Amino acid sequence: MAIQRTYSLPNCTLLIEGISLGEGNTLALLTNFECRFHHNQSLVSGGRKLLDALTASVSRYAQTIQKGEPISIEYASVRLEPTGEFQHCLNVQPSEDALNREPLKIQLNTVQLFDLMDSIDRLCSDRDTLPDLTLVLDAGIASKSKSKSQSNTLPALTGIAGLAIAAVTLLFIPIPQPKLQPQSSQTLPTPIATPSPPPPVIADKELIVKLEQDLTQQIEKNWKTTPTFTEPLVYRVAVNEKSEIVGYRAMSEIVTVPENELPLKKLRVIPIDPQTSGSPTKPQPTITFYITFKPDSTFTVDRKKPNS
Amino acid sequence: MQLYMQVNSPQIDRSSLEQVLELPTPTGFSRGCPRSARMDLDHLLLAIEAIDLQATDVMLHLVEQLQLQAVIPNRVTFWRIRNTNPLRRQYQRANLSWDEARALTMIICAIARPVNTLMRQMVTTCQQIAENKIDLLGLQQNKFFLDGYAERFRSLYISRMRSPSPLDNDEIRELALHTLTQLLFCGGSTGEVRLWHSLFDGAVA
Repeated sequence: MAIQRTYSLPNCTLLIEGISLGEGNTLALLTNFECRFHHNQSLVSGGRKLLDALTASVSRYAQTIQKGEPISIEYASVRLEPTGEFQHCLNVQPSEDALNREPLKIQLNTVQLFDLMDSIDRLCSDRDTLPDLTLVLDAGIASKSKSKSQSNTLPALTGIAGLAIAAVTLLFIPIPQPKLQPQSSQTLPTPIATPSPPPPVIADKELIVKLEQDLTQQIEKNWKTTPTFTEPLVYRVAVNEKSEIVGYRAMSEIVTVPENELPLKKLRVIPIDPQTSGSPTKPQPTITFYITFKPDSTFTVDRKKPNS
Repeated sequence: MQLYMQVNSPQIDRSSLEQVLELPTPTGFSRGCPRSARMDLDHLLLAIEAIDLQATDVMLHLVEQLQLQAVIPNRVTFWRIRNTNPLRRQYQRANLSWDEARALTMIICAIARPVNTLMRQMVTTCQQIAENKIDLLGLQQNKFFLDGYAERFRSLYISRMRSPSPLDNDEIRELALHTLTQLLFCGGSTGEVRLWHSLFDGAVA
């Protein structure tokens, strides 16, 4: 008895024609199938071999789309390949089983491809039509995961091979011999303390007067806070030729005065200019002043250490 | 709310239990459900939430309909299962059992099937954007709809995944749009089987 079944989807219709063997409604033997795409009225038609190839290639290809990495899939005379982010090309080569005598090229977008896949899936899960036709899926898991493990061992093998090659190459390079010098017990190096030379002192008297005035002005400008201390505080301050404070140290015993209260920290210049600034080997010329900060917001600048 | 109406309508008349039997435990994954599969499942659920922010309730409702209470007895279990995605903020190195993965697969497909029409439209919009045809066809409103979805997906992703985000904004959008294609294919007549196989295809054990 001849039977026709159709699987109709928005973008394509799959028509199955066949005969049932014996009793019942089961379409057991395929005589012809037709897959018509509605967007351009193209037609793929043929017999069981072509249907098997179409089922296998579409199934596998749909799986690669779902993974987000579509790749070309070819089974027998049917090939599917990505031609754009959402474009796919279905190629059907002519075969004795197919209706087309020329190679067929059908452009499908993702939704159209989904419909093609779903029409085939409906056919595969239909128990009354070609019960021996099943979804082509299981081969994917095993074979893919196997090839994955191979691709993982490859980098490791290249690494080991590279190490072996490097080892063999290095074998030919002579090992450098350390040059042994005759040593006696007397030539043991004795550490000598070399005190760094004291920084040069500015001797120019006119410059000293100017520096003293500049320092007084700087402190005046920057000492704004009301003193919280009750005893006069003496600081030793080093000034370079550009009237910059390059260092200071408290001479008094009291160290509980917050540093922010005095302007010295703010005024100190970390030497960065290569022309004027010093280095451990070449200290810059400085001169020392003694500043006495008094609790009544006044201060004095002296060349000599005050006797307090 | 859209999902509610569609899911409650008697569309799910398929013998879902029969489908379960067709989701074989894949071989070669001795350490349980692979990391990429856990991520894929969670991303699909996240996309469903981005389509409809009430979707979590629909999913829990589906647990009863699909008779999955043995695997997912309550909301907390469902939350814990979703946190097996290693990128989650609350990831606690728990693994996903095969039955739990099956349950999520069935829930995803049960939702993807009724929204298949919407997925067709959204994937088509993705294609039109990629081919610069939106203005030409005057379909700006479809693009706005898609952008709204992508933005909801992004904010859900940022709030659920670990910080700093494992993906930048462009990558999140790409993921959001790719999950639409995945959901489209999940909505086919054999969506569960297809999704199940795609989860383990090429996955690292």
